[in-house]
Amino acid sequence: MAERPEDLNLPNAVITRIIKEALPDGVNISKEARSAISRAASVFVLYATSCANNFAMKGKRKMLNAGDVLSAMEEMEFQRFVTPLKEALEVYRREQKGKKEARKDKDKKADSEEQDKSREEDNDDDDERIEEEEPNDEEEVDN
Amino acid sequence: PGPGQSQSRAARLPLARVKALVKADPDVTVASQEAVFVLARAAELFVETISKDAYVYAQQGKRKTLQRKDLDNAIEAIDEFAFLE
Repeated sequence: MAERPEDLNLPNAVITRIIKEALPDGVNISKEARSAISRAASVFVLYATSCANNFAMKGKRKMLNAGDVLSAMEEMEFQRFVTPLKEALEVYRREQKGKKEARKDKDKKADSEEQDKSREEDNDDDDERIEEEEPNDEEEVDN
Repeated sequence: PGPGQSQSRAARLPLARVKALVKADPDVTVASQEAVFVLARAAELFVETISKDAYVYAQQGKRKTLQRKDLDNAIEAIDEFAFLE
């Protein structure tokens, strides 16, 4: 499956919808423009990842975290993204916490012997590795 | 409206696809789920931003269709897009 990074693209339908929502009604996008924007978005992610990884390495960490990505945005001169990204992250964290609590309750009901193990406070658990809960999941991000 | 305003109605990039891009970097050991989320969200903001910036050139050309050359012009003119050149 060895794809070149530049060939990994994001779904056309979503890209098109984001473009349309950004532009006034009645404006169209040529296929070439849409394709170029999609490729640019992929390159953006690759560049941001690389930049974020530098911050992780500077902090002597192996795991790239959300803070590293925010630092990358500033480094890449996309400071104006930082506030909306922080807000989105807050919402995401709350949603994840809600999901986790729902799962814990389900576990408690299903298996009462395991109760002691799952009762630990998981304050530090927010920045966790990619879990198996995404619908179209692949293997871990480990390289 | 600023970049974050459209959060509720904007389309969302699937995290799995963004994860695939992160994995493509040989220097990255592992990325947290949150990091992938923020990258996805940033990419959405990026698409919004570059679309609007390119559209300025379409308007100058009195066109209602965004074309490849509008994008090329925006990339050349705007410093933040230098990494795309």
